[in-house]
Amino acid sequence: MKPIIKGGLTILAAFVLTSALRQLSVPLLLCVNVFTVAVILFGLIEGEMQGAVLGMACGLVVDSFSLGIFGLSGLANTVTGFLSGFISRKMNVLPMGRLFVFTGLMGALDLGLWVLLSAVFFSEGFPWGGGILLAQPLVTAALGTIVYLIYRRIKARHER
Amino acid sequence: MPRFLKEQKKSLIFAGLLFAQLVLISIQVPLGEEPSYLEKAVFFVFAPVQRAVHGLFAGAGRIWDRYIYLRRVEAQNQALRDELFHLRQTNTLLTNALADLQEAKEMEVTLATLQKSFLVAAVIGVDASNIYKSIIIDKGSNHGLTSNMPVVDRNGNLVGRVTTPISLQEATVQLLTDDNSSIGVLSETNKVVGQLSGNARGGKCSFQYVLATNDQLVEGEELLTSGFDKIFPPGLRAGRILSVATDSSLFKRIVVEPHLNFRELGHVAVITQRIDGTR
Repeated sequence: MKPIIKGGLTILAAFVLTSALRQLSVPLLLCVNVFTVAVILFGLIEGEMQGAVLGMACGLVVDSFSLGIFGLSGLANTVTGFLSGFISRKMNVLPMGRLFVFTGLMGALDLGLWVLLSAVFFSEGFPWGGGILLAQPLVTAALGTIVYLIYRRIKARHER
Repeated sequence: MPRFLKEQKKSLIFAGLLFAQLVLISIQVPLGEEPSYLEKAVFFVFAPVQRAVHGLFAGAGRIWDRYIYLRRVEAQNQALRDELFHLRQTNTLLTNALADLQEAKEMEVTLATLQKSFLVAAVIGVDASNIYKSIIIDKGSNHGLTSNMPVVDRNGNLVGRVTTPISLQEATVQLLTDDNSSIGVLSETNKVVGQLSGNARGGKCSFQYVLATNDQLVEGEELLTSGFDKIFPPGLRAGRILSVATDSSLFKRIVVEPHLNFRELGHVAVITQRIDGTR
């Protein structure tokens, strides 16, 4: 499958999942950022360039449904996608424990960048949500690890 | 292609992507301008997807509720709930808005206006980057929605106002908890006037521009829209004062708990006509 189609489907899946999460519980969106998980995994699987491009696209989709500054999430997601691909090429992050730490750190980086850009540079408020927001990297790590393990299993079965 | 460019291709593309987004951000200065065409285009493309997901969940819920669980009772219950929803809106607005009017004729005109001034909309999405900023509803310009129309919940509490981008079938609602929201309000008991601004960090609001020398406000007091901003009709319940503090500033620091409750935000009502009858 061509990377552009893969990317398009990934964005669509992330958007549908985010919309579905909203139907279940709105505060859940504070700690589950499906777009970040998608960007990290795409960078990890496809490489830094694809990760950066998908990060930009995902961020712009998020921003178009937000009253915040258009391009802010895009900027954070682009850096996350690029670094996710870049670091995973430099070191082996695929064993389960390392993958959990890696996706967690990338999730923290994405959240930290977004908070830094929005709060420090643009004086925008961020949804602290009584601390629920801090759980986001942990949830990203758990979700990212599970999704990647499922992906690896499906891929292995497909190749057999 | 020069060797240097080949070696640094990835870094250059990455820098290009970052630069493009910085340009995108910088062209939005001054803030508060209309959304860019790109932002509108993405919204137009993805809003129907959000509507479809909402429809899927709503449809699944309806199948369970109506056909499997309580077939007849559910339908009847839904009709009664809708009726109650409308009646509550009308009652809240009538009680508050007509209290200030003197002449009976004026009251009749207002009453007639209010009867056809609500549009019920389902909430199909929330701001993915900050849930306290905005929501997406399933009514758009095709239903006559325009910017600045007030939005209330099923109990008549203030939710926010319609803002851009508005597509044919969907619209964005700026919540009163958004940082950039500012609503003219007054306290219910002592009629202290000020501005209610959002604080998207924690979903709270702040009651601003109340002088530090003013001792009339107490914790627990209700805040109602004043109507002075010419956007929100007077008398809508906006929130309750949580704490009142005084520091070195000229104004008091007043934290307000908004009545906005995400659990009750399945449906909202858009007030499509102003109190004076104009759209």
